[in-house]
Amino acid sequence: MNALEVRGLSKAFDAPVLCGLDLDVPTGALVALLGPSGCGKTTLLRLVAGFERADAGTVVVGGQLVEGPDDGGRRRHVAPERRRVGIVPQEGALFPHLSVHDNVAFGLARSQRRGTRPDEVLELVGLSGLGGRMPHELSGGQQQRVALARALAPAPSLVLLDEPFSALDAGLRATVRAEVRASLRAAGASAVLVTHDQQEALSVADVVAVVRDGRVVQAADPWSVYAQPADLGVARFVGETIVLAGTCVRGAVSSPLGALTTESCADGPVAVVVRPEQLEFDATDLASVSAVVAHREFYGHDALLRLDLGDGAVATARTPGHPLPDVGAVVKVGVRGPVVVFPVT
Amino acid sequence: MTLLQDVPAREGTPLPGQRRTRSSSATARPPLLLLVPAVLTALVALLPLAYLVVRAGEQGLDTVGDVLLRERTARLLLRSLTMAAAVTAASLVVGVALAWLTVRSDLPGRRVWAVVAALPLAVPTYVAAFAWISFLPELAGPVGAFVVLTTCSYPYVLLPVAATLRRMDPASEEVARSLGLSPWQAFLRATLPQLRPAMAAGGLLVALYSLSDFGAVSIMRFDAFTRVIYTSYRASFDRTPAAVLGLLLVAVTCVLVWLEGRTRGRASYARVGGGGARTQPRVRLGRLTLPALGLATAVAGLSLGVPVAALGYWSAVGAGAGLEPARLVSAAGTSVVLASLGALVTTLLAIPVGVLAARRRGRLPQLLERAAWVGHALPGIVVAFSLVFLAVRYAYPLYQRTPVLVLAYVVLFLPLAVGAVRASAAQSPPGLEEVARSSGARPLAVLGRVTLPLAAPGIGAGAVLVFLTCMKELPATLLLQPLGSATLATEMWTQTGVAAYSAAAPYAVLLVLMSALPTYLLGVRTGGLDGGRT
Repeated sequence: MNALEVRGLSKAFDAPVLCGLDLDVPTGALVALLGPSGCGKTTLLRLVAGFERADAGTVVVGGQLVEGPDDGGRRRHVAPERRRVGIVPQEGALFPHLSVHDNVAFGLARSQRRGTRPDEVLELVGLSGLGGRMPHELSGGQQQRVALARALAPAPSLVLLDEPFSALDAGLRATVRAEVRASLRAAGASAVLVTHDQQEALSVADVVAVVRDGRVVQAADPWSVYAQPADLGVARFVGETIVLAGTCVRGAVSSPLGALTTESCADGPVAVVVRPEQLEFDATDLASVSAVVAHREFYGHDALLRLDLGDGAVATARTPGHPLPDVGAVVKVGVRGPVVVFPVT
Repeated sequence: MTLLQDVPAREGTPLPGQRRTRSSSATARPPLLLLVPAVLTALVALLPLAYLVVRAGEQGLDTVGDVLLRERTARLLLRSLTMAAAVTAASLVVGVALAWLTVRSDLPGRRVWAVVAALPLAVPTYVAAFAWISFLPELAGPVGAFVVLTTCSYPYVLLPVAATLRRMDPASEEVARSLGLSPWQAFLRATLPQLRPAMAAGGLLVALYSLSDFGAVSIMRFDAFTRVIYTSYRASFDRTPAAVLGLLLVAVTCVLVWLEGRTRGRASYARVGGGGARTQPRVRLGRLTLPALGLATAVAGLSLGVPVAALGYWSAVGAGAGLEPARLVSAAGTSVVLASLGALVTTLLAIPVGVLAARRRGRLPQLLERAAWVGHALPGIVVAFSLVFLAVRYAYPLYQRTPVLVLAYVVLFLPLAVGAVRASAAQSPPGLEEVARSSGARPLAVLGRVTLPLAAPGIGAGAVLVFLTCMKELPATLLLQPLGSATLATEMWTQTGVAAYSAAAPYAVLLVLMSALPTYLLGVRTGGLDGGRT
């Protein structure tokens, strides 16, 4: 059974925001909703939580229809408090007048509030012993983990995280992200994480659902989304790309980078998508072409080289920082692994 | 040639609040448990005005026309408006000058002056009027009313102007100086235009207060609207003229409230991009230091010195003779009981309206809030008057009993309480309430467990403010006070009316002291809260 099933969900405010969106969250999985701002991912979250009403479509949480036409055909809208959906808002939104313990206990039945559950959940998020603190006495990362504990405490069917790490500074973000991921796994919770950060989505989620123009254009495991994007837009959104004009003849691709392998392709002109880290220099086991280094940017751990492939074709390669060819040097460049192609229409 | 290097599009973090702007949950049907009391409160707030219209119209439109078109009415209107204009003009001059001196100049002791200059706000106009007339009986009339109203209400200009000056980017004045303007020219052409919204808002408030003031004009025997309404009500059996004049006054104040609302809207626009925490260079007064000190001293002397001296003198004179401690204590007790009741009921009624206004958009919550604001445009004398009519005709057993007076306080001071509730409820982010809903709390539980606890300090402060204002309220209390009882304010007014100044003084002293205590406590409390949440 899926923790969340969304079918054909539509919502318009002044303009359409969601246009027949489908999404499944398998039980126990963390699904990242990845998309640029304005693509509708936060609206989806608010519809699932019950803060907004959908125009059309259904939402089923933990097997229970919470939004959409019921058996009698009437539209049903279950109030947020009866959905068993926990939310972790962007800035945590801890109740400033309640201690950490009381924040976590907020959603529990009166009899449970004094029990062991709040401390259990605090331990789960790695904050045992901080129950007596007030929210303003915590660091940003701790506040975010308390917000997660508060959402997890009533054991909801689903936890929704709305860009929960964007308010944290870069150094803290990776750590808190890992801790939150571990806590969600330990709790066995099903969760949806909204983010516009590709790295965050790819590194944390079991499933990455790429949202564009109010629809999920691809939902798959992170590796598939990166290596086998559904279209050029997804390819560009989930990582750096080199897009070259090529031709496909009987399953073989020819391009300014030479002959390349791909899983399958129909004959005709194609757009070839290569990831910068696929380019390798002077590899003896790869078919290579000559290129001139036109520009380079050094980042310490690695470097970006802009390569002139002749005939106006340019590619950017990500390469380890040492040794670096000089600008103007001629290098041999080959492509490691299969590339993705999309027919040009 | 298709060769692109795409770095994935990274977007900036969305602006805080951006995504909530279209929240439709804010427009969903408000819970009945808030809506029903809010609607009832709005109806209560509208009651006096509605009844005044009915009462004035009962005799037919001809009678209304007769009263309105009398030459006497025209002169009354002219007289009151002239007074309001004069008081406003004088308040603008004094208020802007003192604001500039305390914020932007190197006036010696300007911190102390900043506090002293705002203090007259705490002096009820009838106390100031009592002080003046007890020393200079010949001041009675327009001049006396003008002096008292100006010295009591110029802080309404001073405070917003000083706040704007403090926020203002001093660079504009520096740029003006670098372009060859003298300090005075720079002030006129660079600073003053930026102060205009604050001056307009403050000035309109002053005009509003001088039009609806009853205590000062009565003691000064200046026939302004409020006094004429009062005497007409007392003197004649036919109360239609009083009702019609009351409506006319309401119409005039409505125009002012509307104008004030408009300028306030613009003022917030004018603030966009205002300078931040830059320290402002102070203008050296040089040879003008002494005249500036003289001005500050003169204003303080007129607005604070005279009342303090009068209270001190008459208390000393009266200490030996005529003081009736039992009567004083009883009046103080009545004042506290009535003001507490007023504050309690007003605040409780304000909660549904204020929470709805803070949380729900849409026509109904807006309408309810507007209705609650009616009291802002209703002078105390008019409310009192309409409630007297209403009680006499439909609820005689309640006439001159506590509930009617409390009702008057509710109508008059609901705007204060609704403003406080609304502001403090709006401060907590709506995200908190959504989290609470998702955690399984029903809307009413969210109200009780999240919204109200968070808003409690602000609501409490609002309640104290209402309490203070009830304590000082004169005209409604005078007309509606429960039979056989008297408050500090009405006792003082009665004694002043028969020129028994030494008998009046103790009531005034007690009134001022008792109003000061909650102000002080409020300051300590909010100060403590701020200290706790850094």
